[in-house]
Order: sequence, then C-alpha cells, then structure tokens
Amino acid sequence: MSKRRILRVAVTALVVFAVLLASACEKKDGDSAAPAPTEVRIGIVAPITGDAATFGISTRNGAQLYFDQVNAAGGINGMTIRTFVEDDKGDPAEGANAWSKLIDQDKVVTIVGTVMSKVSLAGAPISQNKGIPMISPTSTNPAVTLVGDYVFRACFIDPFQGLVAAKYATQTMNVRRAAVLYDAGNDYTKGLAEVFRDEFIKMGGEIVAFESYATGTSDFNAQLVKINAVAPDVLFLPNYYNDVGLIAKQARAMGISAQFLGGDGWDSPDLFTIGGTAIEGGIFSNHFTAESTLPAAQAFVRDYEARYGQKPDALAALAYEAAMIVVDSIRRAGSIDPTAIRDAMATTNMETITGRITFDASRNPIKGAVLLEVRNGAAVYKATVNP
Amino acid sequence: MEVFLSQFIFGIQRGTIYALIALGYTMVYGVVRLINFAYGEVFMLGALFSFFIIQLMPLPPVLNVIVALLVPMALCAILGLAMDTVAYKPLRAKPRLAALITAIGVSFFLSNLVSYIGPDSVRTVSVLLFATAGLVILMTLSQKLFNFPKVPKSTGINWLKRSIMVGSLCLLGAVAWIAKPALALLRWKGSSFTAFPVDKLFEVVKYPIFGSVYITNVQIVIIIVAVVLMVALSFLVNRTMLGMAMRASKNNKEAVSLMGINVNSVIAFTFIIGTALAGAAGVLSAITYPRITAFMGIQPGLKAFIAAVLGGIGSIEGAMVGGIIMGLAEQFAIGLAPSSFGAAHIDFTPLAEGISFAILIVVLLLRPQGIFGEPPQDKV
Repeated sequence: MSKRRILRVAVTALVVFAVLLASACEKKDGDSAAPAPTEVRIGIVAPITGDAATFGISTRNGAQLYFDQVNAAGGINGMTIRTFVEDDKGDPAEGANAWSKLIDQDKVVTIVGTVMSKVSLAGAPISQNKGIPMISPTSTNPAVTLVGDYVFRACFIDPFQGLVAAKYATQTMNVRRAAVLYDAGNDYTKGLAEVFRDEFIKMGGEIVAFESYATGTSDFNAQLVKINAVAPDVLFLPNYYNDVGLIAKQARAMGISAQFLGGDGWDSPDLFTIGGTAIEGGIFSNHFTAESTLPAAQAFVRDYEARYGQKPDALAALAYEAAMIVVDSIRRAGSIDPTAIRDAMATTNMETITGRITFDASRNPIKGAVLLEVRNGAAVYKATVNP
Repeated sequence: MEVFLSQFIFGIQRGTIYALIALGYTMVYGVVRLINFAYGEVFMLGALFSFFIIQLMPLPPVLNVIVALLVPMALCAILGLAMDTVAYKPLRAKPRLAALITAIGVSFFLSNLVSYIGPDSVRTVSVLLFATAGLVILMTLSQKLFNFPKVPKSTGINWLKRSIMVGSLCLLGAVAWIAKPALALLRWKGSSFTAFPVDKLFEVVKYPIFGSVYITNVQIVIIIVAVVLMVALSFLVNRTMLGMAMRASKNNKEAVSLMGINVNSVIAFTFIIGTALAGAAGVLSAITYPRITAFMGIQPGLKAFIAAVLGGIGSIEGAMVGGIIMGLAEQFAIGLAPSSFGAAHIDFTPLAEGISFAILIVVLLLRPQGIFGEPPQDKV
C-alpha cells in the first residue's frame, strides 16, 4: 500500500468519525432542549421471532393496541405515547440487550415485557439498577418480581390457580372429598398440587388421595386404581393437556366419576383430541378468555379482532392489561419521572379487562381467574373466580 | 382384593408391551451378541406408521385393526433389515463395542429424525437430505478430479453404489419436501404429542369380572395379539429350519457357515422378526395409551431391555416372563408406594417408578445371566 493511499484512508476515517460525532451531539442537544415533555416513551419487549414468536406477536399486538387507543383518545395528560418495540428472540442475552438499549438509547420511562420468565429475569436487574419500572405481562416465575421493587407483572403466578380450584370445589360445587394426581417432575404441576392441597384442607375439605407420577409416564392406572378405591368428588389434575387427556381417558374407563379440575396447562386444542369424550365437563382456570362477559373484555376482543383479524389469546389480553396498568400509573403519577410512575404503579387499583386488579407486597397482581368448562370439544366460559 | 385384582390386570397389560419389545432385544442378542438399542425407536415408528395408516385409510373397523397392525409390522421389518445392512453388517467382524455404540447412534438418529418430520420442520429434513446428496457428489468429484484423498484401486469409487445413494437421498428429500401439506393434513406434530385415533379402530368396551374389577376389549386384544405372536415365534425358532439355523448360529457361526448356511441372511431374518415384534408392540401401546411422539420409545425401550436382562438375555421364554414380571412389579410398586407420607408429605412414587432399575441392579449382582439364561462359561 502506498503512503498516499494510507493517508487517504486515514482522512476518510477521520471525516466519518467527525460526522458521526457531530450527529450524536446534535441528537443529545435536541433531547435536552425539550423544555416540557410532549411525548411519553414506553418500551415493549417481546419474542417477536424465534420459537415463542406466536406468543411474542400476540404480546406486542395487545400492548400496541391499547397505547394506540390512548393516543387516539388524546394521549396521557396531553402527551402522546411513543412506543419502542424490541425483539428478545426468547433469549436472555438478547433480552438484556433490549433492556439496555431501551433505557440508555431510547430513554423510555417504563417497559412492558417480556413473555418468558428466563428473559424477564435477565431484564429485571437492569430495570432495577437504572430505576426504570417494568411490568411483565406473562412471566409466571415467582422469582421475577423478587428482583426488586421496580419489577411488576400483570399475570397471577402459577400456584394461585391451586387456590382457584380449591375455592371452586369447596364453595361453588360444595364438595369435601378431593384427590390430586400430578407430575412429580415438574415445578409447575407440583406447585399447583401443593397449594390446592393446603387451601382445600384450610377451606374444610379432605384430601383423600395425593398421588404423583414420573414425567413421561403413559400408564396412570396404578395411581388411578388407588384413587378409585377412595371415591373422591373432585380429581384435581394440574398437569399439561397431553397427560390430562390420557389420565381422563384411563380414569373414566375405570369408572371414576369425579369432577376433573385443572389449571392453564390444559389450554390446548390437543386436550380434546387426546381426551376425547372423557374430558367433557372438565373445568380449568386460565388468565383470560375471549368469551368473557365483562363489557371491557368484550370491547377489547372486538377492537383486537377488527385490527388483527383474529381473536385475542391470553397473551394478547395480558399485554393489553399491562399497558392499561402503565397508562393508569403515568396518569396518576402526573409526571414521566420513572420513580413517580413506579410509586403509582404499586398503588394500582383499577378495573381492567379481567376485573379489578391490585398489587401485593411482592408486586404480584391480586386479580380474578376465569374458569372454562370443556363442552363438545371446546373450552367455554364458566365463571370468574376472585381471590 | 378388588384393588389387587385390578392392579394385576393392569400390570399384565403393562408387561405384555415390555415383553414384545424384549423379544426383539433377546433374539438379536442370542444370535449376534448385539444389543440393538434402536428397538425403542422401532417401537415408536410402529405406532407412527399405524397412525398414518389409520388417517389415510377409512376401512371397516375389524379390517382396520388388522391392517393397522400388520402393515406397520411389515414396514418395521423392512426398517430392521435396512438397519442391519447399513449400520451393523459392516461392523460384524469388528469388536462388539463398535456395534453397540452404533446401535445407540441409530437410536438417537431415528428419534431425532422423526421429531423433525413434523409439518413445521419437514422442509428442514428435506434440505438436509439434499445437502447430504450434494456432499456425496462433491466428495466423489473431488476424489475423481484431484484423486484426493488417495485411495487404492480396489476401494476406489463404486459409481453404481454412489449413484444409488445420491438418487435415494434426492428421492427422500423430494418426498419430505412434498410431505409438508400431507403431514399437516394428517395432523402429525413431530416432537410434540399427537393424539392416536384409537376411536377409529374400535370403541372401548368394558367386561366386569367381579366388583369394580373389569377387563376391556383393548386389554383382551393386546394380550391375544401378544400371545399369538409369542407362540408363532416359539414355533418359528423351535420347529422350523430357519429357527434351527438361528439356534445353530447362536452356538457357533463358523460351523454354521461351513454347513453351507448363509449366516448373514440368518442374522437379517432375526432382525426382521425382532423389529416386526417391536413395531407390533408400538401399535399395541398406541392403542392402549393413545398419544404418540417422536420420543415415546425411549422409556419402554429401556424397560424392555431390563426385562430381557431379567429373563436372561438370549432366551425367548426369558423375555416373555421378564416382561410380565417387570410390568407387575412396576404396577404393584406404584400401587403400594405412599405418595404423601407423614407430615412432610414425602412422595415415594418416583422411587416406585424406578423399581425396574433396582431390579436391573439386583439381577446383575445376584444372577447376571437372568432367570432363564445359561450361566457364563469360564474362559480358560
């Protein structure tokens, strides 16, 4: 390489660097020059690509829908909402990058996100350290909000569904004898089973059988023979749909007539293909149903369908709800100071599309769950159970 | 009493399926001294083939059961032959460990391949197959053009073999590419669970025996099919020329070849019969527990292996008895284990589910040759 060429490269590099520097300074000037804020910057993090893409797209759509509706109705206290959407790809490292970018570069005041607990756990410490409140719509791992007081969630945590089932059995069905069959190798099913057992006993019921099985089992007959011998009124199955389908089949074949109850692990169309007629009449809890009779929920379903051409799933509903909580908090805080927003969020007490919602000391929501009943191979709305 | 009888019937149901897979293990081991760990996957493929057939052919119920059982058995037998030819035959003269490790490889390969053959990822499989074909062509060309790596004349390029290989890879790739809409139509979900449409075969009917004890037509069918298959197998091994050749190969392969018997075809037949039985077990299992996935064969495969060891590996009666004992032992262990013991709610069920492995350890310690096995000969 000749000397002149080296010089040419060096000069070009210098010019490029200078231009970049100038533009960066300019941007900074522009930011600090704004005297009164005219916009609220809110971040949305969701796995828009990758394995959980369908979840991520629903989540983004739900949150975006509400923010756009607020803007169309005049914004928050005269300010327009500007959203910054980041894709975490379902990967904790990508999630942490998204959090840093939203806070440092886009200067958001609150973050709605994200779907998977492991990714939320990567973002939460960043939110906590930088003092930017976050609300995850769907991360159910209890550890997420325990990261610190700037971390909230819009969904109830898993064990709450054990309480819902116990409450339904003792108060609505008015029965006293329950049996449980759960997957011992799964924290989700184990948590639900234990909470159900404790709450059911507390409510005056008796657990006549508390049985488990190893993950991957297909033959549940040994446990079901034991359960059949004690003739329970209710059989609580906090497992995933495919196990529940097989258990229901084997239990009904054996002549067990107990009412089946379960949690949101049942939520799949395959429950009906595997369980067939055996699962008919089974009741399970979930975060949301598009068939909810609450007027706010019906309006949400209508608007969502009009904009995206499909019915909202539970993820879209929870993201919409998280967006409602964020907007309500900013409104009540009366400023876009992140700490003021956090303080307002902690004292949330509002009607959303799933009913009244407040937060407990660990920033987990206290809210109702919907109960769905299996009827003719579909899950239909049965009731709402409040804590 | 009622509980005991019910558990007994369900234990037999469990054990029958173990016994059928165990027969495959034991037969091949008896003749070739090879543990074919891929039987669990053949079991899975039996269920899968049966699933495809039921979805494709709306036949009258009784005929449907027979077709849905026999066709997968035949397909699994072909697979068994292919498995032997591709993976095990080239290693026949090599140390036994090489074939054993290859068997584990075949097992992983099959389950993972099938897990990718869902409507979502079947095109990936197709691309992989085309890429492999391309690689073979590239290697052949580079070998031809640059003579690299150097190969002796005798082991040079066999153009016919290579062409067949590339052709079949491309054909499979094309099939996989076209299969996407078909698989979506069949509602096969690859690695996630798919419901097995047992309702299309027959309706489950219960026959009460005594009190709450009953037996279902499904249980009767699987027990009858298993007994018929086992009797047929005993006949084949003990009363036919092929069986005699098999038993002779078990004792001394060199002497058998000197008698003018082709040991390799005897072994191939053993594989064919063993895999057909594993395929039948897969179909029966899918009928009993109507849920299938690409990884459904791993656990039954392991348990059946233990059943074969318990009965005495290499012994056909041993595999049957071992399978039934395993099924009953598991059933009663789970049935008797307290699952919420004391104030701390200690759960003993996972321990009971692992009783098969405890049995394996005890058998290996006390009677390594199993119940019906021949005692190991001392090598001088």
